[in-house]
Amino acid sequence: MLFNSSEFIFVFLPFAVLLHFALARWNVAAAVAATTLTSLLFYAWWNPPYVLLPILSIAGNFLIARAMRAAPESAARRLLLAGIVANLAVLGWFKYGDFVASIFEGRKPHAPEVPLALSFTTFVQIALLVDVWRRRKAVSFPVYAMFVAFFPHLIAGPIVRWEELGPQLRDRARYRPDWNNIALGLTIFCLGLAKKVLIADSLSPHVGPVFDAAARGEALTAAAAWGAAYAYTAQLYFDFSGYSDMAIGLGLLFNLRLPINFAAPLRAISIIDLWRRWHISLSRFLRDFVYLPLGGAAGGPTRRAANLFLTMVLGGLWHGANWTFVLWGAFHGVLLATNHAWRRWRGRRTPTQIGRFAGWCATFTAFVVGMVLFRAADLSAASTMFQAMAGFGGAPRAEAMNVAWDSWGIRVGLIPEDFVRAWLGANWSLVGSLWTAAALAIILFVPDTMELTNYREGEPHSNWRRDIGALSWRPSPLWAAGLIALFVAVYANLLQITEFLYYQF
Amino acid sequence: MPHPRTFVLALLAGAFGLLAATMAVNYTLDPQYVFGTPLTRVDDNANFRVHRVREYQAQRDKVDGLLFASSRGRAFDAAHLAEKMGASSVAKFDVTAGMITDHLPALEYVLRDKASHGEKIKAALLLLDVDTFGKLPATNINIDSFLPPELSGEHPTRFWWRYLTVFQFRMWRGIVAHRWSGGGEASRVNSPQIDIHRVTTAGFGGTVLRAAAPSAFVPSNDAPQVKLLVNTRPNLAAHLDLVAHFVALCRENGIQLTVATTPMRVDRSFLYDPADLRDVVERLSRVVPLWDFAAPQWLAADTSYWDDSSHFKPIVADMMLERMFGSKAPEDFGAMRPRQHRTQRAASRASQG
Repeated sequence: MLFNSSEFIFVFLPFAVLLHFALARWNVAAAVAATTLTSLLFYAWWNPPYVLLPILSIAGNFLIARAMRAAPESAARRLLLAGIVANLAVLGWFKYGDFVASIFEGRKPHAPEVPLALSFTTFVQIALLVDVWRRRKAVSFPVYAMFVAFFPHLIAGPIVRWEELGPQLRDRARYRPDWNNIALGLTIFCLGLAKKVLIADSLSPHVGPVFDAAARGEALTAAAAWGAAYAYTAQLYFDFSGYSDMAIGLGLLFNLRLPINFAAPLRAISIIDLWRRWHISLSRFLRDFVYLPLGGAAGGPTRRAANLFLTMVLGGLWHGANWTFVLWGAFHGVLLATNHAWRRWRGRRTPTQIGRFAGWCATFTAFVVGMVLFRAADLSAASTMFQAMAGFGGAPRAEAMNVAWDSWGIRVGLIPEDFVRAWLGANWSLVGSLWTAAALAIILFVPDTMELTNYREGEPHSNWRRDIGALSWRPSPLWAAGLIALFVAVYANLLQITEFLYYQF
Repeated sequence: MPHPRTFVLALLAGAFGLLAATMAVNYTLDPQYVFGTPLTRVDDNANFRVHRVREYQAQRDKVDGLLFASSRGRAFDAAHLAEKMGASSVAKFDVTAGMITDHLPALEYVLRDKASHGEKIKAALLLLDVDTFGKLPATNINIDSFLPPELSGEHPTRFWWRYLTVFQFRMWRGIVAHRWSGGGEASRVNSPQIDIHRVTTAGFGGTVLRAAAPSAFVPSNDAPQVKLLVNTRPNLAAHLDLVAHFVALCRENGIQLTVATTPMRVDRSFLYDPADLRDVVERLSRVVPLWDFAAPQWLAADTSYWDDSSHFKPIVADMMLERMFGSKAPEDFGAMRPRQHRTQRAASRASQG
């Protein structure tokens, strides 16, 4: 079941929220159990037999955590290692088994069928095991099960930490409905839904033909390759940040505050800043459980660069078993190391306005270039895209058009046909360019969901919020009318149900 | 609005009010004619995937012949077809934008159903559209293209929920206009064309294919202003496999199967690369012997044989039947392509070379 489906919005969600608070009036433990069960039902909707995987995983990790708490130091360490290895082994089996085999067999890897949510729940549970090992804290099974299975974050994050959600789950005051949180939650959910359905899904049909053509090895124009790369960057941002907004909104309906996952990252003026604002909960996990254990910045600049590189390669690999993801991670590792070197060289001088603009241009362009690796089907397709972006695509004037977005404009004389055939090619369109430009304008100039609602949770390290004054959310008639209008627009577009891009990771 | 509770209730009232209104309108107007309560029935909007199954169920005892086709199959008269195929009664599964992804589940359903009654199908005619073969299917994409639960295995609740809750303002407006104007308007407003302009696929790789039909007939020597050669057939191999499965099922069940391609009007075929169209026919002929109804110029360019750029008239269907099962058809219309093996094809190419 997807957040952007009518059965979720009108049936599952009201049922789950009402059941939670109705049972909580009688018994908090019953509410916890019921919400865990509804979360597992939410998961099972995708593939019923696979629900055994999170159930076994939750039970197994809980037993390890409990044994660790009672064990002496050395035994606890061994248990921790066993727990981490077991979690990674399950992830590796499903996600990387064929990839590793393909390396030895010298063939292309097949797309693996990874159980939904496995990548995210693996990280959540590893973080918890480490937390329990460090602090020897007691964890009750029902609360732990709801912590992991809670459906708003189960499938694609945010990757929550026990110290964020655990205390909230044990706080009995949170089991009474709070109208403020429900109002805020519905608002954030609706804004996230609009980002996904109205913007991300509108960009998808423009992105697909270009990347598919690259996968077939067809020559592309530079405009098509750059256009599709920009469009995909915007699509992924609106898709995943929209999903994260919805997750936060859903959490608020249950009186639980999930951490922010996106802090207007595409407005960042450096790649370091961008990674503090993009998929924050993953960056945080990689920092705490990969980068810092590797030594972080402690061993000097060279060691830090190596650690950053390795962390980002692993982060890339986490997204999927494909060399494109490995290269994407390596690319960002190099960018981060370069950015740190630049900062060392430049010192603590505050950048000028021109410097900030130049920083944004460089950061954004580098990120867009990296997105080609993220989206391309394989290295060959990525190479086709890069050649085209560099102006060496060698695309002839398009005689055959694979997309018809511009056909109306050409027919009525608004768009010169020669321009489309010569400059945009068979797979890109002026309409796609305009949609992409509009989406980028929204990213850059319109306050994002968290700015609008002033929601502050988690740890974005960047001061990214703008003062938006009168635009700030409040439970006013104007906001209610605006949200209802937005929901009508979303609802009118709900027939084409599309999965969230991050469901595949 | 002093209290957040009022805000929440307003939002919920708006959302659930929208849902209730949508359900009421869908049930009343019944645009796809799935509830059986249409204010005005407009067949152009109907979900033929559902209707053809219902029609089959209504006459299942008599049926021993089957026709599988896209909407182009509507030109075929069931009684005439039965007579030509040597069947008592033919059930037509001619569905809008129908492809092998629709035909195979329909065949499987009929075979299951017939087997449960101890009955058999005698003959079947499978019509394939070369222009759309191997492309992204409309099956289960648009509101008028969802397979009925009998075919898809989907839970009926989910199926009906979808038809109750879908927001289809333009369709509603068209039906009301049709009713208001006494019947002439909605057919035009609610085009039978699948809105593949909006088609997206889940996740990565969603190619959108559109073949915009010209608004008026274009003579063969006058190229359309925007020529859309949609060469990409991402599902070609998969669809060929489905055809092979279809053929095997017919063979296993003793069904006398005839396979044919449908003719295309000249302006339609102009949108495609002729070599690409020939290649599709050739690949099909490796799977099953088939009748190739690539239309000769006298038929392809004469509007009197066509309802629109995609759909031929019953007279053409009759000619096709004559060619396949009779003897009175024009000789230059339709050619039998026997099953061609890879080795034969290579040899033939070598001899041509």
